[in-house]
Amino acid sequence: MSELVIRNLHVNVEGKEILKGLNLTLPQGEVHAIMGPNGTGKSTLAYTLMGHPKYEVTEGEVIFKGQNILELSPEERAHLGIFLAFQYPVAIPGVTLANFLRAAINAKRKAINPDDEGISVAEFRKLLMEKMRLLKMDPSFAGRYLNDGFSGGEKKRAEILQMAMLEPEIAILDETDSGLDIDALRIVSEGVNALRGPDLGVLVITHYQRILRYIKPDKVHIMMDGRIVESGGPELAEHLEEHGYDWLRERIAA
Amino acid sequence: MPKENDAELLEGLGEENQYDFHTPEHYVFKARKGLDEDIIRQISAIKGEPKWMLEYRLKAYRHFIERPMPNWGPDLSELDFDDIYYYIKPTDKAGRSWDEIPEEIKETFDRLGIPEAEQKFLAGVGAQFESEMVYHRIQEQLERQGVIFKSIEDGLREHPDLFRKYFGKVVPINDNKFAALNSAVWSGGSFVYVPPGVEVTMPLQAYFRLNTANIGQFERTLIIADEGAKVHYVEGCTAPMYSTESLHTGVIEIIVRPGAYVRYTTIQNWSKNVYNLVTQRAMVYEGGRMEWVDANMGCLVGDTALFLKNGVKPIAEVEAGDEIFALTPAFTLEPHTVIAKKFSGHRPVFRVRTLNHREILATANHPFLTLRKEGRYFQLIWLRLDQLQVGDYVAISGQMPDGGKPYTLPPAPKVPRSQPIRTPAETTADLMWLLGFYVGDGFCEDNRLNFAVVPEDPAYPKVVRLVQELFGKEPSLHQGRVLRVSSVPLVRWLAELGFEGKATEKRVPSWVFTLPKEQKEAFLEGYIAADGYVRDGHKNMSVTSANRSLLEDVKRLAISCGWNPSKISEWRRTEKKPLGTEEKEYVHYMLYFSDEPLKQPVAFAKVTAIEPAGEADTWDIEVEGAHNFVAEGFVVHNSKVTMKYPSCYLVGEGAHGEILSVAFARDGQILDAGGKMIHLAPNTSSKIISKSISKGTGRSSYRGLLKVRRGAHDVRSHVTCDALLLDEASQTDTYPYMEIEEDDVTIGHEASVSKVDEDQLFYLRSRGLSEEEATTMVVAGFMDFFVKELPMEYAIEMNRLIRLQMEGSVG
Repeated sequence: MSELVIRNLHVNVEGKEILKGLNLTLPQGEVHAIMGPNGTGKSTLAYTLMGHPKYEVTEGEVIFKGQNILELSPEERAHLGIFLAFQYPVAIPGVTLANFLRAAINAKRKAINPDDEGISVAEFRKLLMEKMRLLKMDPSFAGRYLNDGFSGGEKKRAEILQMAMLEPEIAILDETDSGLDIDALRIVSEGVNALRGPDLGVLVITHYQRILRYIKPDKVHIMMDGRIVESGGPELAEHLEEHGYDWLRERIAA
Repeated sequence: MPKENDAELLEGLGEENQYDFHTPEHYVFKARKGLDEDIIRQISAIKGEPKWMLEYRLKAYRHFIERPMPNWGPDLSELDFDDIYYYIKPTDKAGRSWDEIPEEIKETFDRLGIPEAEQKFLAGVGAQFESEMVYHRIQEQLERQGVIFKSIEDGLREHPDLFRKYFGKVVPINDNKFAALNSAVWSGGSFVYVPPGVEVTMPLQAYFRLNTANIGQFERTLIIADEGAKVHYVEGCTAPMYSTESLHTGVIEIIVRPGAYVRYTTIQNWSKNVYNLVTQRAMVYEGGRMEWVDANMGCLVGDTALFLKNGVKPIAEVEAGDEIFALTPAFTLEPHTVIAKKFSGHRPVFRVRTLNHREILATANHPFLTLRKEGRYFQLIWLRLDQLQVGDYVAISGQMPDGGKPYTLPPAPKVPRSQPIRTPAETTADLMWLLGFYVGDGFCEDNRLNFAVVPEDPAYPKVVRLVQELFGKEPSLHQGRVLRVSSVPLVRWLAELGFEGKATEKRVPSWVFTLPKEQKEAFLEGYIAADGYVRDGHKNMSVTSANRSLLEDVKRLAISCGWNPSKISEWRRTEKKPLGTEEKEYVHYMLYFSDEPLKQPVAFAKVTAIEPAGEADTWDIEVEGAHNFVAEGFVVHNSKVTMKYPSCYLVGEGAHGEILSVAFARDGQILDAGGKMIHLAPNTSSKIISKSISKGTGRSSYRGLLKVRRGAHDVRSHVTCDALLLDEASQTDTYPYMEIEEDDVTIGHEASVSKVDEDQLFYLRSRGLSEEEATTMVVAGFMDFFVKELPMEYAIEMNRLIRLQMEGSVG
């Protein structure tokens, strides 16, 4: 069983400290939610875990499968089984979703076994169609340019499709619920739920409790000012829904 | 529209020349030696051409002579036609043997996955292999349909009437200077005729036509699609165009008869060492449709060989035929031939200085082989002087192989009433040592050769011995401090060799640089024995002189021997004369040689200064097979240009023209591409899509002309130019020109410049792609619209080529 362990993580963005000693353990197979008001560093955490060059780690470590992943390049982290569903997926004009996914799958397979000859076209098509059905996506979607001209809902669905295809062991969903209407939210959440299992750990980063009605977390963490300030069961999210963050702010201040 | 009107129609278009966007003609081209009418007659005779063609060629030649160079667009000032005539060969070129193809080119073929048969074919060796069979099968099929697909020479020979009716009608002689040149000396190319209503289903590929794989330097292609006919012609292939020629000026003429459709696809991967100035034009009649699909890729292999200039003959004195040393991809040196030299004009120059005190003056656009630190790695790239920064490392020459030969000496002149003197027939190390010593401590006065050397000097016995041995004379010691040889013939002989004048005027004669290394070093040692100082226990040496120019010569000579001379420093000393009050200032210069010579052929030295240094006459040379040379101990490159603007003349109502072009400019390369749409009839429509990618220090430009003539109402046109920049140093420019004389037109224009941004790369990397794969994917995406337009096999090769272009682009 591999778990993701974050210890004393300090991160600067453009010289300003955003994460200030964050600790968190995500066991494989569990779904944890991270909630918190805007500007507390939730997205910074997501990007840092994936290795965005703009985020400078000044202290701490993130252990996964026995190694400190902070020393790895983004692609090496991906090969290890870490996946980030972006809040704002980036458009790559001229590259179809299908071509891109095939390249990504092959890159991972090759990283694991340099002699791997890649997934066959037939096998790939079968896998893709199966996952697209799961996410209620029209097959023509695969021929569209990656995120280019996608609606908000389409982008998020495409993210979950990628997650389904790449079969990560740790998935970080960065505000996947933002910009989604109820129907899209339900479809995306059902997709995530369908992928849940003993081999997948999920970190749901969200501002609202809404998505947690569909994706039931095993644990909820509250993040403020670059740290986890409170952890609990699913009831913590409901408590937040009713009372907001003020009670926590007061407690921290005291 | 009647066919006879083609020429007439074009006459009215006199100002719309391919290479004449907006340029007043005020420059007068001066005819020089090189190409002349005799050579043209010879070409025509060897081809067995009819008289009218010879006359056509001669007329074109005369026009070429009179025509000025275009003065817009990229700088073509380095182009000297005199040097290019060198290549005009009146005979068809014999196939180049595969063995002559440089290793790196073969390697690229292999990487492209082109089987050896095709490699041989591409190399022009093509005798016995499959492609020939393929070609014959295509021929049979086409002939049944009445389609003619032949070499341009065969077209003229076998279909004289058809040929004459269309040849030179779309691109007339007086169109532009380069078209005129082509019309005078054209050789090679295709002749295609598709009869009315015939659709050629498979693309006609020049690739499969024998003898065209070696795209001629002055290729000429004529394609005629008769009424309602359809044809797709594919030119070139994605293998690198290896060429020893420096100028390619092709002319492609296409006639799209009413209702016909022609697509002309070019995929070219030019070496960086080529000027590629091609005139491509289509005339489109009623309801016809013309599509140009044009890819110009950068260089894969063109500059893998680096060339070193042997010795330090001033560039202005270098001549074609001089041997210089070239650095191979393995960084070893081999001699190559200088094939041309050009005067590049009086231009602003800059001084580049390195930490080990090499200095060069060059123009801002001159590329240097540079190591630049990118993150943790060094990247080897060509950077223009204006892109160089202090702290970069530039390539300098180190140890060169010994290419010198002893110099044959003239006999000493006979002087009446003077005793004849014996002098050596050719240079030896001993003679050079003595001459080196003479340059330091010798002078001629009153018909006497003098050496300022005292008997206590360790060099004294050697000077005496050498004078005896070499000239058979006994020197005499004068006033205890000057060794003298009295001989008028000897003094004149020395003067003839370039050793004359006062101490402050002495120079190292240029022939000294051509000597074997042993003799050059003997000269330096003799000079150091006279003017030098060797510190005990050190190999460190310094020489002192009041003559700065002499020290500069010595420094260059030392560099050519692979020594590592330091800078020339200046020091001043003021002396009071013992009795007077007058002060005198003496200026001396000192040159150091550091302990160790450079061992490797090429080294990299840190740039310490780049500063303006006024204006100077500038020159450039061309080296056979590659286009680098060493000047002042720096490895530099000359820059090259591609200019291509396919055009459509929409002369019939309802005609449609399309140009899709892609340009990929790599380090040190300038690609200037785009297109021209000339709407001359109502209800015509056109579309131009231009995409350019600039990588490293490459620069690509879009240059487009959209013209709507009065009376051409209801014209629709759309122009899109997108540029993608891959690096901070890469550049792009857009020059859209529009001349609209009609109100009732719909014109759209879009332009965008994008960079591969960090977020795109991070997104792709987060899915497991390496940085290089990610960049390649973004580039491939940018090109996708274009690749989709290609026949399948070319699309695959194109994608492979994009990957090759991108290889090594990261880290």
